[in-house]
Amino acid sequence: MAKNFIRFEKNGKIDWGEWKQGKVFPLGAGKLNTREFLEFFKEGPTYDSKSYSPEELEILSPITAPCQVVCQGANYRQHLIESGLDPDEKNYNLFFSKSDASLTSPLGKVIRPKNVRLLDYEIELGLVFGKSIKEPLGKNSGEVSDYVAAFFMANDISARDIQLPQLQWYKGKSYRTFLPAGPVLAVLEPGDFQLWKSLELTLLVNDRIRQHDTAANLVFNPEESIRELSHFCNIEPGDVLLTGTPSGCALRAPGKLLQKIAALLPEKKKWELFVKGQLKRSEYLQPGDTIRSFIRSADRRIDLGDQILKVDQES
Amino acid sequence: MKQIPSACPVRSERPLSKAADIAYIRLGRKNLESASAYYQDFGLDVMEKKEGRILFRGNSSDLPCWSLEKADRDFLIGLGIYIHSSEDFENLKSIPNAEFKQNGRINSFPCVTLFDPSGLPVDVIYIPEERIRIPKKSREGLWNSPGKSPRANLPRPYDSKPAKIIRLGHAVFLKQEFLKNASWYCETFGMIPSDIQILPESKEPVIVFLRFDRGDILSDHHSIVIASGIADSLEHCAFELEDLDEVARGREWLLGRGHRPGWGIGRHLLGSQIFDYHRDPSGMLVEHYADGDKFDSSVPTGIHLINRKSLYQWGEDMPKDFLDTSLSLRKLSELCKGILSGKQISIPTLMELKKVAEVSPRTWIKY
Repeated sequence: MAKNFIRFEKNGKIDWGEWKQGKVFPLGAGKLNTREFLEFFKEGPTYDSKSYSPEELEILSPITAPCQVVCQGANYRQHLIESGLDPDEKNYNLFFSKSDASLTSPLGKVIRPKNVRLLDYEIELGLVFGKSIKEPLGKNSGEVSDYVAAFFMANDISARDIQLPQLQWYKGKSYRTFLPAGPVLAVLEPGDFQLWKSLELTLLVNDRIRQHDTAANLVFNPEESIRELSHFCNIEPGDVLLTGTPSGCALRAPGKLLQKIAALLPEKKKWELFVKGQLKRSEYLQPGDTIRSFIRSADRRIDLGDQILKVDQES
Repeated sequence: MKQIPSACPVRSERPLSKAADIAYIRLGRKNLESASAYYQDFGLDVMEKKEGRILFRGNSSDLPCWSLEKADRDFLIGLGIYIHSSEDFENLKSIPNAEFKQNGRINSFPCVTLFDPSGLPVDVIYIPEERIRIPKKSREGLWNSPGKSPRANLPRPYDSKPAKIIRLGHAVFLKQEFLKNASWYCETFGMIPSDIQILPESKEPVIVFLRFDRGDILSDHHSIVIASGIADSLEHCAFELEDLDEVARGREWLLGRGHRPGWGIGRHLLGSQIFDYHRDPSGMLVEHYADGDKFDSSVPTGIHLINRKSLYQWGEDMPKDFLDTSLSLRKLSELCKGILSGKQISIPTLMELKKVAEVSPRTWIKY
């Protein structure tokens, strides 16, 4: 069964610990990055006898910079429809990237930049690579799952008024605090990888459910996505792949008719109308909102912990 | 346009009290005699019989867990909850409308009666922790397993008798106002949502499995379940047995005595119990179970879609009449009464719930 680890700070010192039955058992590993931790874990770590309750610790992201953050877009069928894409016509796997400067603690703050009004949330299942990929993984390259060392939870926070009108996915998705990750790094044991299908993703804003789906509903599954990724991207241990978000984001594409009319408008006017339309939607994140999310299976064999985030306005 | 769903019930940061366990259920019954005979076949022991009231207990305690009371119709009268902290008990006593009884209601411990948002009387019984007896396993070493044969040279003993009930485990209440009631149990008794089930389309929460917060001490995955319903009522109660063998033996006995089965034997998904449902003479479901999940306070809430398939891992296919989705006159009138009195009832939610309840699971099962 997957082992759950968290990275934390206590009395000014950073360490890793195993998270087991609600308690944290420190490893005395010291300040290791994700890649170093995965190596350290392979050696068979030993534990201190003491344990902490999570409240006594400052929980940090188990994913550390520098690392490459590769993301998939429109990878749940219903989310495609809401984003204005026809699931039967979109037949390519959409990849993009986020800056690792956006990484932040899973129990903390998401800061809405001054120039952003359409702040959105996206819960995602994240995979952590444990092996380098330096060439295309062919059909005969063995199990793709061998390259994945761990699962974690991510929130792909997005500034829709940057991402779409400015056509800047990288910027719109990479402001600081736009990638809360963790709390759990679930290091996989043989056979665990296939359990991704039973994972249920849930995101609530102010205790109301906005997103809920099962990872089994991914359009492009992790195996085929990694295989495709290997054709245009080098991967190092510690790099991550975010597999896409289910339906229920604040973003909603205008109806088919409106889209046709908008296509006739000048670009600037079109996006002005888009932002105006979206601003009417009460789903976008506001300062003071609480985002709570979790990913786990009903039988809790895999449990990626709970993220609790408060939305703050940049001062 | 789709509405943002209602809030989910959450663990309260400052509950009025932290209660310990479910104590008893009080039921009104038109026919006390037939009900009493049934519950003895079911496995409960009669401990007190008075004009108009019969008290029953399980094997783990000398306190009553089941009260049948003479009434002009079959209905739920109320429930009882144990509390161990005198300080918490005093807090609850001071709630407006709370009714205090120094000498208890169905046992002799001090009791304060509160009313949940749907008006159901909830007796809170103050009782010292050591007064609750922990059942001892009585039939150790009787199970052979591969490579281990503690029952060497001995056949399994053959006993035909009612199941041995250890204790009352949980009760499932249907409520017209789901969130109000669920939140009240969290805020008043410090209950923790173990799992919540939501509707697939609207993502509206409709069932919450609540457990008592006993810190490091383990408590049942759920002691009280609140579900959205057309009328306020008791859906079923469940009693804990020692193991699968007891569950199956209980079934054998009840069916042999000509009683109606409900659904079983199977294993639930949320809570994991091995279950077996039966119907008492009034048609109400009662459950025998074993091997349920036990959680301490550290386990966080899970959220899952609701459908019939999500109710069990394995077992007999669920009978068509198990989930009562029919609209009887009585339920319709309760619904109208609820709406007229200004209760927060969402008709679309009830309609969607009825729809998912009717989708048959496991169509591949053919009998």
